[in-house]
Amino acid sequence: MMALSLIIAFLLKQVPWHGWALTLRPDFMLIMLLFWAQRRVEGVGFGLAFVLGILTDVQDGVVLGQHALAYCVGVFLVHYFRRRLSMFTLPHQALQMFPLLLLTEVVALVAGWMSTRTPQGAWVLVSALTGALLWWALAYAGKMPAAQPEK
Amino acid sequence: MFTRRPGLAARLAFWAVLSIILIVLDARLSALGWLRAGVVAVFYPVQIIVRAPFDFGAEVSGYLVRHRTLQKENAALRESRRQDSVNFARIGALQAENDELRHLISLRQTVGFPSIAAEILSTPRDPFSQRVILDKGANDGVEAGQPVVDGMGLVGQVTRVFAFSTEVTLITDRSQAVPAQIQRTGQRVLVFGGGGGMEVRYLPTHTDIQQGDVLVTSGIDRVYPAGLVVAKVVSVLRPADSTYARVSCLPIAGVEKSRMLMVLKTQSEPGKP
Repeated sequence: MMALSLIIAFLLKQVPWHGWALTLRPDFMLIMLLFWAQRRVEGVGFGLAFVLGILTDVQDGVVLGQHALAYCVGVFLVHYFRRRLSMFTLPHQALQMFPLLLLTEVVALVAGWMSTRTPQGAWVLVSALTGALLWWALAYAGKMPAAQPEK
Repeated sequence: MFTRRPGLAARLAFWAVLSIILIVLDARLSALGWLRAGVVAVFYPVQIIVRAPFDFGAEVSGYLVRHRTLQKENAALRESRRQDSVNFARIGALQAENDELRHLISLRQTVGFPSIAAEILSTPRDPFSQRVILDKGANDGVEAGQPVVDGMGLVGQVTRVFAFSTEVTLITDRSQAVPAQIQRTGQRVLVFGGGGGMEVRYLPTHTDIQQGDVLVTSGIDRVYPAGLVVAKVVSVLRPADSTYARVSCLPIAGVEKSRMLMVLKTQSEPGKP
Protein backbone atom coordinates (compact mmCIF):
# COMPACT_ATOMS: atom_id res chain seq x y z
CA MET A 1 0.00 0.00 0.00
CA MET A 2 2.72 2.41 1.01
CA ALA A 3 4.97 1.49 -1.91
CA LEU A 4 2.05 1.78 -4.30
CA SER A 5 1.10 5.27 -3.11
CA LEU A 6 4.71 6.44 -3.35
CA ILE A 7 4.95 5.10 -6.90
CA ILE A 8 1.73 6.93 -7.81
CA ALA A 9 3.18 10.14 -6.33
CA PHE A 10 6.28 9.65 -8.46
CA LEU A 11 4.22 9.08 -11.60
CA LEU A 12 2.10 12.17 -10.91
CA LYS A 13 5.25 14.27 -11.04
CA GLN A 14 6.21 12.70 -14.34
CA VAL A 15 3.01 13.85 -16.02
CA PRO A 16 3.83 16.86 -18.20
CA TRP A 17 2.65 19.96 -16.31
CA HIS A 18 2.41 23.41 -17.79
CA GLY A 19 2.04 27.05 -16.78
CA TRP A 20 -0.11 27.72 -13.73
CA ALA A 21 -0.63 24.08 -12.95
CA LEU A 22 3.14 23.77 -12.74
CA THR A 23 3.42 26.65 -10.29
CA LEU A 24 0.62 25.35 -8.09
CA ARG A 25 1.67 21.72 -8.28
CA PRO A 26 2.24 20.42 -4.77
CA ASP A 27 5.21 18.18 -4.17
CA PHE A 28 3.27 14.90 -4.27
CA MET A 29 6.26 12.88 -3.23
CA LEU A 30 6.88 14.98 -0.12
CA ILE A 31 3.23 14.94 0.97
CA MET A 32 2.98 11.19 0.49
CA LEU A 33 6.23 10.64 2.36
CA LEU A 34 5.17 12.77 5.32
CA PHE A 35 1.74 11.17 5.34
CA TRP A 36 3.31 7.76 5.86
CA ALA A 37 5.92 9.17 8.23
CA GLN A 38 3.09 10.21 10.52
CA ARG A 39 1.34 6.84 10.35
CA ARG A 40 4.20 4.35 10.19
CA VAL A 41 6.95 5.66 12.38
CA GLU A 42 9.01 2.50 12.05
CA GLY A 43 8.44 2.05 8.32
CA VAL A 44 9.43 5.51 7.14
CA GLY A 45 12.87 6.64 8.21
CA PHE A 46 15.47 9.06 7.03
CA GLY A 47 16.93 6.49 4.64
CA LEU A 48 13.74 6.32 2.59
CA ALA A 49 13.41 10.11 2.63
CA PHE A 50 16.99 10.40 1.44
CA VAL A 51 16.56 7.99 -1.47
CA LEU A 52 13.29 9.62 -2.59
CA GLY A 53 14.98 13.01 -2.35
CA ILE A 54 17.79 11.91 -4.66
CA LEU A 55 15.16 10.60 -7.07
CA THR A 56 13.41 13.99 -7.07
CA ASP A 57 16.71 15.79 -7.59
CA VAL A 58 17.45 13.75 -10.69
CA GLN A 59 13.92 14.19 -11.95
CA ASP A 60 14.09 17.96 -11.58
CA GLY A 61 17.64 18.16 -12.85
CA VAL A 62 18.91 20.06 -9.81
CA VAL A 63 21.92 19.64 -7.56
CA LEU A 64 21.94 16.14 -6.05
CA GLY A 65 21.14 16.23 -2.35
CA GLN A 66 18.98 19.35 -2.37
CA HIS A 67 15.67 17.55 -1.97
CA ALA A 68 17.30 14.71 -0.03
CA LEU A 69 18.17 17.23 2.67
CA ALA A 70 14.73 18.85 2.56
CA TYR A 71 12.87 15.54 2.77
CA CYS A 72 14.98 14.44 5.75
CA VAL A 73 14.10 17.67 7.53
CA GLY A 74 10.43 17.10 6.68
CA VAL A 75 10.44 13.59 8.12
CA PHE A 76 12.22 14.85 11.22
CA LEU A 77 9.58 17.54 11.78
CA VAL A 78 6.70 15.09 11.34
CA HIS A 79 8.26 12.57 13.73
CA TYR A 80 8.93 15.33 16.21
CA PHE A 81 5.40 16.77 16.13
CA ARG A 82 3.68 13.44 15.63
CA ARG A 83 1.70 13.34 18.86
CA ARG A 84 0.75 16.96 18.54
CA LEU A 85 -0.48 16.46 14.97
CA SER A 86 -2.65 13.49 15.76
CA MET A 87 -4.49 15.51 18.41
CA PHE A 88 -6.04 17.83 15.86
CA THR A 89 -9.01 17.49 13.55
CA LEU A 90 -8.17 17.21 9.88
CA PRO A 91 -8.65 20.88 8.83
CA HIS A 92 -6.51 21.96 11.77
CA GLN A 93 -3.95 19.33 10.89
CA ALA A 94 -3.70 20.80 7.41
CA LEU A 95 -3.17 24.21 9.00
CA GLN A 96 -0.33 22.76 11.07
CA MET A 97 1.18 21.16 8.00
CA PHE A 98 1.41 24.45 6.13
CA PRO A 99 4.33 25.95 8.10
CA LEU A 100 5.96 22.52 8.19
CA LEU A 101 5.83 22.18 4.39
CA LEU A 102 6.89 25.79 4.03
CA LEU A 103 9.96 25.14 6.15
CA THR A 104 10.80 22.07 4.08
CA GLU A 105 10.50 24.02 0.81
CA VAL A 106 12.67 26.78 2.30
CA VAL A 107 15.36 24.21 3.13
CA ALA A 108 15.35 23.05 -0.51
CA LEU A 109 15.42 26.67 -1.67
CA VAL A 110 18.33 27.61 0.57
CA ALA A 111 20.28 24.46 -0.33
CA GLY A 112 19.77 25.22 -4.02
CA TRP A 113 20.77 28.83 -3.56
CA MET A 114 23.91 27.97 -1.61
CA SER A 115 25.05 25.57 -4.32
CA THR A 116 24.23 27.52 -7.49
CA ARG A 117 24.11 31.15 -6.31
CA THR A 118 21.33 32.21 -8.61
CA PRO A 119 18.76 34.59 -7.13
CA GLN A 120 15.11 33.51 -7.39
CA GLY A 121 11.65 34.74 -6.55
CA ALA A 122 9.77 33.18 -3.67
CA TRP A 123 6.70 32.20 -5.72
CA VAL A 124 7.75 28.53 -5.57
CA LEU A 125 6.65 28.50 -1.94
CA VAL A 126 3.06 28.58 -3.17
CA SER A 127 3.28 24.82 -3.48
CA ALA A 128 3.41 24.59 0.34
CA LEU A 129 -0.12 26.00 0.38
CA THR A 130 -1.47 23.55 -2.20
CA GLY A 131 0.49 20.87 -0.39
CA ALA A 132 -1.39 21.57 2.85
CA LEU A 133 -4.68 21.28 0.96
CA LEU A 134 -3.54 18.00 -0.51
CA TRP A 135 -2.68 16.79 3.00
CA TRP A 136 -6.25 17.43 4.03
CA ALA A 137 -7.62 15.43 1.10
CA LEU A 138 -5.12 12.68 1.76
CA ALA A 139 -5.96 12.49 5.45
CA TYR A 140 -9.60 11.82 4.53
CA ALA A 141 -8.44 8.99 2.31
CA GLY A 142 -6.24 7.92 5.21
CA LYS A 143 -9.28 6.82 7.19
CA MET A 144 -9.17 3.62 5.14
CA PRO A 145 -8.24 0.56 7.20
CA ALA A 146 -4.99 -0.03 5.32
CA ALA A 147 -3.70 3.37 6.38
CA GLN A 148 -4.60 3.19 10.08
CA PRO A 149 -1.71 3.87 12.44
CA GLU A 150 -0.18 0.74 13.86
CA LYS A 151 -1.19 0.00 17.42
CA MET B 1 26.02 -1.99 17.56
CA PHE B 2 24.11 0.56 19.56
CA THR B 3 22.53 -0.49 22.79
CA ARG B 4 19.80 2.05 22.08
CA ARG B 5 18.86 3.58 18.73
CA PRO B 6 20.37 7.02 18.41
CA GLY B 7 17.97 9.92 18.98
CA LEU B 8 15.85 11.57 16.33
CA ALA B 9 18.02 14.67 16.12
CA ALA B 10 21.19 12.59 15.85
CA ARG B 11 19.77 10.61 12.96
CA LEU B 12 18.65 13.81 11.23
CA ALA B 13 22.15 15.22 11.64
CA PHE B 14 23.68 12.10 10.08
CA TRP B 15 21.48 12.20 6.99
CA ALA B 16 21.75 15.97 6.67
CA VAL B 17 25.52 15.73 6.63
CA LEU B 18 25.28 13.01 3.99
CA SER B 19 23.03 15.27 1.87
CA ILE B 20 25.39 18.19 2.22
CA ILE B 21 28.34 16.03 1.18
CA LEU B 22 26.34 15.04 -1.91
CA ILE B 23 25.52 18.66 -2.69
CA VAL B 24 29.16 19.66 -2.43
CA LEU B 25 30.30 16.70 -4.55
CA ASP B 26 27.76 17.49 -7.24
CA ALA B 27 27.80 21.28 -7.32
CA ARG B 28 31.44 22.04 -6.63
CA LEU B 29 33.24 18.99 -7.99
CA SER B 30 30.71 17.65 -10.52
CA ALA B 31 31.68 14.15 -9.43
CA LEU B 32 28.28 12.46 -9.55
CA GLY B 33 27.44 12.42 -13.26
CA TRP B 34 27.36 8.62 -13.31
CA LEU B 35 24.82 8.43 -10.48
CA ARG B 36 22.52 10.90 -12.22
CA ALA B 37 22.84 9.12 -15.57
CA GLY B 38 22.09 5.78 -13.90
CA VAL B 39 18.92 6.99 -12.21
CA VAL B 40 17.75 8.65 -15.43
CA ALA B 41 18.35 5.45 -17.42
CA VAL B 42 16.31 3.43 -14.92
CA PHE B 43 13.36 5.81 -14.94
CA TYR B 44 13.23 6.67 -18.62
CA PRO B 45 10.82 3.81 -19.46
CA VAL B 46 8.55 4.96 -16.62
CA GLN B 47 8.43 8.43 -18.12
CA ILE B 48 7.42 7.03 -21.49
CA ILE B 49 4.67 4.85 -19.98
CA VAL B 50 3.17 7.75 -18.03
CA ARG B 51 3.06 9.91 -21.10
CA ALA B 52 1.37 7.28 -23.25
CA PRO B 53 -2.26 8.00 -22.20
CA PHE B 54 -1.72 11.74 -22.78
CA ASP B 55 -0.33 11.15 -26.26
CA PHE B 56 -3.21 8.80 -26.97
CA GLY B 57 -5.72 11.42 -25.78
CA ALA B 58 -4.18 14.04 -28.05
CA GLU B 59 -4.37 11.62 -30.98
CA VAL B 60 -8.04 10.81 -30.35
CA SER B 61 -9.01 14.47 -30.07
CA GLY B 62 -7.10 15.02 -33.30
CA TYR B 63 -9.37 12.51 -35.09
CA LEU B 64 -12.44 14.29 -33.84
CA VAL B 65 -11.63 17.60 -35.54
CA ARG B 66 -14.68 18.66 -37.48
CA HIS B 67 -14.81 18.21 -41.21
CA ARG B 68 -15.62 21.87 -41.83
CA THR B 69 -12.58 22.98 -39.87
CA LEU B 70 -10.42 20.78 -42.03
CA GLN B 71 -11.96 22.17 -45.22
CA LYS B 72 -11.37 25.72 -44.06
CA GLU B 73 -7.80 24.91 -43.12
CA ASN B 74 -7.26 23.21 -46.45
CA ALA B 75 -8.47 26.26 -48.36
CA ALA B 76 -6.25 28.54 -46.30
CA LEU B 77 -3.25 26.29 -46.88
CA ARG B 78 -3.87 26.21 -50.64
CA GLU B 79 -3.99 29.97 -50.71
CA SER B 80 -0.82 30.36 -48.68
CA ARG B 81 0.93 27.76 -50.80
CA ARG B 82 0.16 29.72 -53.95
CA GLN B 83 1.71 32.78 -52.41
CA ASP B 84 4.63 30.80 -51.06
CA SER B 85 5.51 29.31 -54.42
CA VAL B 86 5.86 32.83 -55.81
CA ASN B 87 8.08 33.81 -52.88
CA PHE B 88 9.99 30.56 -53.14
CA ALA B 89 10.97 31.21 -56.73
CA ARG B 90 12.26 34.60 -55.68
CA ILE B 91 14.16 33.14 -52.75
CA GLY B 92 15.79 30.63 -55.05
CA ALA B 93 17.12 33.43 -57.21
CA LEU B 94 18.28 35.35 -54.15
CA GLN B 95 19.95 32.26 -52.69
CA ALA B 96 21.91 31.72 -55.87
CA GLU B 97 22.99 35.33 -55.89
CA ASN B 98 23.83 35.16 -52.20
CA ASP B 99 25.94 32.02 -52.68
CA GLU B 100 27.87 33.69 -55.42
CA LEU B 101 28.51 36.79 -53.33
CA ARG B 102 29.53 34.69 -50.34
CA HIS B 103 31.90 32.75 -52.46
CA LEU B 104 33.29 36.01 -53.73
CA ILE B 105 34.15 37.26 -50.30
CA SER B 106 34.97 33.72 -49.11
CA LEU B 107 32.74 33.85 -46.08
CA ARG B 108 32.13 30.80 -44.04
CA GLN B 109 28.76 29.21 -44.74
CA THR B 110 26.68 29.84 -41.67
CA VAL B 111 23.29 28.36 -42.43
CA GLY B 112 22.08 24.85 -43.12
CA PHE B 113 23.17 22.76 -40.15
CA PRO B 114 21.74 19.26 -39.91
CA SER B 115 19.29 19.14 -37.05
CA ILE B 116 17.53 16.65 -34.78
CA ALA B 117 13.82 17.15 -34.11
CA ALA B 118 12.91 16.48 -30.49
CA GLU B 119 9.85 16.77 -28.29
CA ILE B 120 9.69 18.18 -24.76
CA LEU B 121 9.29 15.32 -22.28
CA SER B 122 8.91 17.34 -19.13
CA THR B 123 9.47 20.74 -17.59
CA PRO B 124 10.99 20.42 -14.10
CA ARG B 125 9.63 23.02 -11.71
CA ASP B 126 12.91 24.19 -10.31
CA PRO B 127 13.25 27.72 -9.01
CA PHE B 128 16.93 27.91 -9.87
CA SER B 129 16.84 27.20 -13.55
CA GLN B 130 14.71 27.37 -16.63
CA ARG B 131 15.08 23.98 -18.23
CA VAL B 132 13.26 21.41 -20.29
CA ILE B 133 13.93 17.72 -20.89
CA LEU B 134 13.84 16.50 -24.53
CA ASP B 135 13.15 12.97 -25.75
CA LYS B 136 16.34 12.61 -27.80
CA GLY B 137 19.73 11.83 -26.31
CA ALA B 138 23.25 10.68 -27.01
CA ASN B 139 21.89 7.72 -29.02
CA ASP B 140 20.43 10.16 -31.54
CA GLY B 141 23.64 12.17 -31.79
CA VAL B 142 22.91 14.99 -29.36
CA GLU B 143 25.99 16.49 -27.69
CA ALA B 144 26.38 18.89 -24.81
CA GLY B 145 26.79 22.47 -25.99
CA GLN B 146 24.64 22.25 -29.10
CA PRO B 147 22.13 25.05 -29.66
CA VAL B 148 18.38 24.34 -29.60
CA VAL B 149 15.91 26.27 -31.76
CA ASP B 150 12.25 26.23 -32.67
CA GLY B 151 10.57 27.52 -35.83
CA MET B 152 11.05 31.15 -34.78
CA GLY B 153 14.41 31.41 -33.12
CA LEU B 154 16.89 30.38 -30.47
CA VAL B 155 15.46 28.50 -27.47
CA GLY B 156 18.48 27.35 -25.49
CA GLN B 157 21.52 25.16 -25.23
CA VAL B 158 22.01 21.47 -24.46
CA THR B 159 23.59 21.22 -21.00
CA ARG B 160 23.31 17.54 -20.04
CA VAL B 161 23.04 14.55 -22.32
CA PHE B 162 21.76 11.14 -21.24
CA ALA B 163 21.34 8.04 -23.37
CA PHE B 164 17.74 8.70 -24.38
CA SER B 165 17.04 12.18 -23.10
CA THR B 166 18.62 15.58 -23.00
CA GLU B 167 18.48 18.53 -20.65
CA VAL B 168 18.24 21.93 -22.30
CA THR B 169 18.89 25.17 -20.43
CA LEU B 170 16.66 27.89 -21.88
CA ILE B 171 18.09 31.26 -22.89
CA THR B 172 15.86 32.82 -20.22
CA ASP B 173 17.83 30.97 -17.52
CA ARG B 174 19.74 33.30 -15.25
CA SER B 175 23.02 31.56 -15.93
CA GLN B 176 22.78 31.93 -19.72
CA ALA B 177 24.41 34.69 -21.76
CA VAL B 178 24.06 34.88 -25.55
CA PRO B 179 26.44 36.93 -27.68
CA ALA B 180 24.19 38.79 -30.11
CA GLN B 181 24.03 41.85 -32.29
CA ILE B 182 21.34 44.40 -32.98
CA GLN B 183 20.01 43.55 -36.42
CA ARG B 184 19.36 47.19 -37.32
CA THR B 185 22.78 48.62 -36.46
CA GLY B 186 25.09 45.63 -36.21
CA GLN B 187 26.19 46.66 -32.71
CA ARG B 188 27.38 43.65 -30.71
CA VAL B 189 25.69 43.07 -27.35
CA LEU B 190 25.41 40.42 -24.63
CA VAL B 191 21.91 39.17 -23.79
CA PHE B 192 21.46 37.63 -20.34
CA GLY B 193 18.61 35.43 -19.16
CA GLY B 194 16.44 36.96 -16.45
CA GLY B 195 14.02 34.28 -15.33
CA GLY B 196 10.99 35.09 -17.48
CA GLY B 197 12.45 37.63 -19.89
CA MET B 198 15.95 38.66 -20.88
CA GLU B 199 18.10 41.75 -20.58
CA VAL B 200 21.01 43.37 -22.37
CA ARG B 201 23.74 44.36 -19.95
CA TYR B 202 26.88 46.47 -20.17
CA LEU B 203 25.53 48.75 -22.88
CA PRO B 204 26.60 52.42 -22.55
CA THR B 205 23.63 54.79 -22.17
CA HIS B 206 24.29 56.54 -25.49
CA THR B 207 24.10 53.33 -27.55
CA ASP B 208 21.67 53.40 -30.47
CA ILE B 209 19.10 50.85 -29.35
CA GLN B 210 15.35 51.30 -29.29
CA GLN B 211 12.11 49.54 -28.55
CA GLY B 212 11.30 46.93 -31.20
CA ASP B 213 14.92 46.22 -32.20
CA VAL B 214 15.57 42.58 -33.03
CA LEU B 215 18.65 40.86 -31.60
CA VAL B 216 20.27 38.01 -33.55
CA THR B 217 23.20 35.77 -32.59
CA SER B 218 26.53 37.15 -33.70
CA GLY B 219 28.29 33.79 -33.99
CA ILE B 220 31.30 35.09 -32.11
CA ASP B 221 31.48 32.47 -29.34
CA ARG B 222 31.22 29.57 -31.83
CA VAL B 223 28.47 28.03 -29.71
CA TYR B 224 25.57 29.58 -31.57
CA PRO B 225 25.80 29.95 -35.35
CA ALA B 226 25.38 33.52 -36.57
CA GLY B 227 21.98 34.86 -37.59
CA LEU B 228 19.60 33.03 -35.24
CA VAL B 229 16.87 35.33 -33.97
CA VAL B 230 17.14 35.68 -30.19
CA ALA B 231 14.97 38.43 -28.73
CA LYS B 232 13.07 41.64 -29.28
CA VAL B 233 13.69 44.77 -27.22
CA VAL B 234 10.60 45.74 -25.22
CA SER B 235 11.90 48.70 -23.23
CA VAL B 236 14.99 50.87 -22.98
CA LEU B 237 15.67 52.94 -19.87
CA ARG B 238 18.59 55.33 -19.67
CA PRO B 239 18.96 56.19 -15.98
CA ALA B 240 20.79 59.46 -15.38
CA ASP B 241 22.84 58.04 -12.51
CA SER B 242 24.20 55.02 -14.37
CA THR B 243 26.77 54.41 -17.08
CA TYR B 244 24.74 51.60 -18.59
CA ALA B 245 21.35 51.55 -20.26
CA ARG B 246 18.74 49.21 -18.85
CA VAL B 247 17.40 47.21 -21.78
CA SER B 248 14.83 44.46 -21.28
CA CYS B 249 13.77 42.10 -24.03
CA LEU B 250 11.56 39.11 -24.63
CA PRO B 251 12.63 35.96 -26.46
CA ILE B 252 11.11 35.67 -29.94
CA ALA B 253 11.08 31.88 -30.02
CA GLY B 254 8.26 30.23 -28.08
CA VAL B 255 10.66 29.45 -25.25
CA GLU B 256 7.85 28.44 -22.93
CA LYS B 257 5.28 27.48 -25.55
CA SER B 258 6.81 25.25 -28.23
CA ARG B 259 6.56 21.49 -27.80
CA MET B 260 8.68 20.48 -30.78
CA LEU B 261 12.24 21.76 -30.81
CA MET B 262 15.28 21.21 -33.00
CA VAL B 263 18.81 20.52 -31.81
CA LEU B 264 21.30 21.98 -34.29
CA LYS B 265 24.33 19.82 -34.99
CA THR B 266 26.91 22.53 -35.29
CA GLN B 267 30.01 21.28 -37.02
CA SER B 268 32.67 23.25 -35.24
CA GLU B 269 33.78 21.98 -31.84
CA PRO B 270 30.94 23.24 -29.64
CA GLY B 271 31.81 25.17 -26.50
CA LYS B 272 31.02 23.10 -23.45
CA PRO B 273 28.41 24.68 -21.19
